Amino acid sequence: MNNNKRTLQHTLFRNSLLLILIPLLTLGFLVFFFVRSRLEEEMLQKNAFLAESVFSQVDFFLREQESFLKKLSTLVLEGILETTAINTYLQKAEHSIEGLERVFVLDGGGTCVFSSEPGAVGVGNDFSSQVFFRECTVPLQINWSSSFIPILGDSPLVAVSFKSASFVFVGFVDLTSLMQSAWLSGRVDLPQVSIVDRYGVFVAHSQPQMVFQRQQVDLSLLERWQEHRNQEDSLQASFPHMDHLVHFRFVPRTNWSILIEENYAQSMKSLRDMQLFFFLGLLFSMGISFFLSRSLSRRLGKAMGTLVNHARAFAAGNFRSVTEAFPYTELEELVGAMNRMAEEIEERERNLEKQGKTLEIQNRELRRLNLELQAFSYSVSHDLRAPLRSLDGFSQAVLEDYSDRLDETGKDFLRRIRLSSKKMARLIDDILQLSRVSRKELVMQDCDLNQLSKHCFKVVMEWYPESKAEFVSPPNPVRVQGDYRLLQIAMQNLLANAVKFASGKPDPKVWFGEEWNGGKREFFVRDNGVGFNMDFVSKVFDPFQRLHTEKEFPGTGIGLSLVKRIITRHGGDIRAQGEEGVGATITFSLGNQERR
Amino acid sequence: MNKWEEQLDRSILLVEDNADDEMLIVRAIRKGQIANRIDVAHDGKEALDFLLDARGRIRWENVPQVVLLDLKLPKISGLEVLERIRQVPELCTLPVVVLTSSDEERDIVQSYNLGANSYVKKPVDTTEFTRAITEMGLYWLIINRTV
Repeated sequence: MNNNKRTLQHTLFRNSLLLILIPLLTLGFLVFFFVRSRLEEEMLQKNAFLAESVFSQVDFFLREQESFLKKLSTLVLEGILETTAINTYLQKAEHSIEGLERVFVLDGGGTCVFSSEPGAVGVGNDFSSQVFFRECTVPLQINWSSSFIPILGDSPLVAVSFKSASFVFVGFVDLTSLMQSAWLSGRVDLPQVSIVDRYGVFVAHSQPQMVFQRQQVDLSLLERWQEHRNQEDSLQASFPHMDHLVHFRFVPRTNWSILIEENYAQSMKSLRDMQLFFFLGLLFSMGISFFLSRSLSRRLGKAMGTLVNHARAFAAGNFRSVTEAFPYTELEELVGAMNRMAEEIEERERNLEKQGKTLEIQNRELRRLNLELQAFSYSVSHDLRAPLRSLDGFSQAVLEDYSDRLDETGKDFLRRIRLSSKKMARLIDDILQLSRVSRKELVMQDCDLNQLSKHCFKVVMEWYPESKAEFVSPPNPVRVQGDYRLLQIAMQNLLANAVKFASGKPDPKVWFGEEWNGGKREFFVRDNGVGFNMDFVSKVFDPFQRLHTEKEFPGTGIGLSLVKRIITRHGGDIRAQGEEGVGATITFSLGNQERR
Repeated sequence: MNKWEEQLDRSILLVEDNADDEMLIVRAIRKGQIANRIDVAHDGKEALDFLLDARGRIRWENVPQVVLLDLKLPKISGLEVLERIRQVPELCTLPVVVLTSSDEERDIVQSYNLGANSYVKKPVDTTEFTRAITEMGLYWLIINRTV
């Protein structure tokens, strides 16, 4: 089999695969992109919503603290700086305000003048070095510190400070309560929510230990956010970071930022599942197309193998018809056609064989006959002449040696014997020549018929010395292709006939020439002799047929048969035309003279 | 110069199986005023035995002036006789005239190929026959003798 060509199975597999793969892939990718964009959009919306809700809770929480501190300051500044009164207020407030752990009031130098701690612990302490005091320089402005873990506690805090008149009011806010009040912590299906201060330290996280350990958010993330915020002056933004989609919400009150981190991979899980199913389906369909094409090609291949074997058998001459069942109508049709072809071929072959045998037999027979003919003519040329020689010879001997004892009648009888034997000898010679002309292999060469005819005429005139015939021939050479010796025999016979039949005329003439007849080159020999009756024209060329008596014109009746045979062997035609008392014309052609 | 060439007036060897022809040929030779002795062999074997002994030596006493050889002979054909004669070195110049009925081209060509000096067809006409024999005899007997 030709290796450059694809196999049927390969082609079938490829085609079915293409048929399945192209629409499947197109559809798959369309669905994939559509679903992904939908999912992303949903995610963004959800996160924005979540961020906003967290923000409002946080903001509320912070505002509560702030407003409490402001109220406290008014109370204090109204002059009721009395410990018990404040405590009572605080106790009331602690119930209503979540997360407010402690409250201190510091004087202008940073010394604690009031503490909500039991037993007023901390009063008299110097807080001037603390951040919440140092940063609180602008009156009536709320300050929020970074988160810290106090010496006397384990829970992270942020301090809120407020300066009014010469006092600084400080509140410690427990971040745990912020985390508790704000949300949310612990739900796995929700994105991770956290809050960082401006330094990136977590002040709230769905995993509280992050806050307790004062962990910092990935600073590169924060950087990107700040960049973004500066550029667009926006409060919220989303952008991908690592495997996450991060949503930011800025809290202006405290300079905090709310982070909603969505795990990208997890949110897109449904999409991945879809992808997985899609690829599984793809694999499955590839498998199916492979098996389908293989089984199809096997069936076809098997059928074709059978057909190929049959075709080989046909070629080898074994014409048993195809009887197997084939799976497809097209194949059945092919089988039908093959069977018909085989039958036809077989029939034809049988005929050919028969013909060949017949031909062979005929050929053998012909060869045998030819050999027999050769032997016969050889024998004739030797043995048939010998008795004639004896007849002639001994008649002559009697005439010579015993003439004195014979009367004229006896001598005449002997002369007649001699004449007959000579005639018989001539007849034998003519028959032999006729058979020789038929057997002889043609030797084609260039001949000038004009010159040949002149030469032959001279020879013929020697045979008829008393003839006064005149010969008329064209001036130019008449070139033909032919066997010189056979043409010479033909020419001699034709001219001899012409001279013979013209001999009785007062001005005997013989013509030779060439003429064109309907594009065919023809040659003729014509005489103005006795001619013949056209009723007998069909007999002119038959051997031993004579149109005149032996007495009128001696001859064997072989001459024109000989000529006809020579012309026929050259592939030419010959015909005779005559009129009694006017003359005769023999016209002949020499086959295709262009062939060399 | 061998014995054969010294000896003038040697015979004519006629190899001819047909008794009628033999008579006619002898008659023609005599008519042509040729007086040489005529030896006649009636088949090829006889002709060869006449010329050569059993050991293939030449019988010089029998070697003729000219051999007139028919082709169609019993036992050993004329062409074979001619071939055997030409195989003997001393006889390769012996004049052999093939004298036969056949004018088959095949016979003529083969005769000359085997070394015949002349080929004469026996004509039916006795007058012609006599003339041919006489001319042939004169040529091979008289002309050769004068050389």
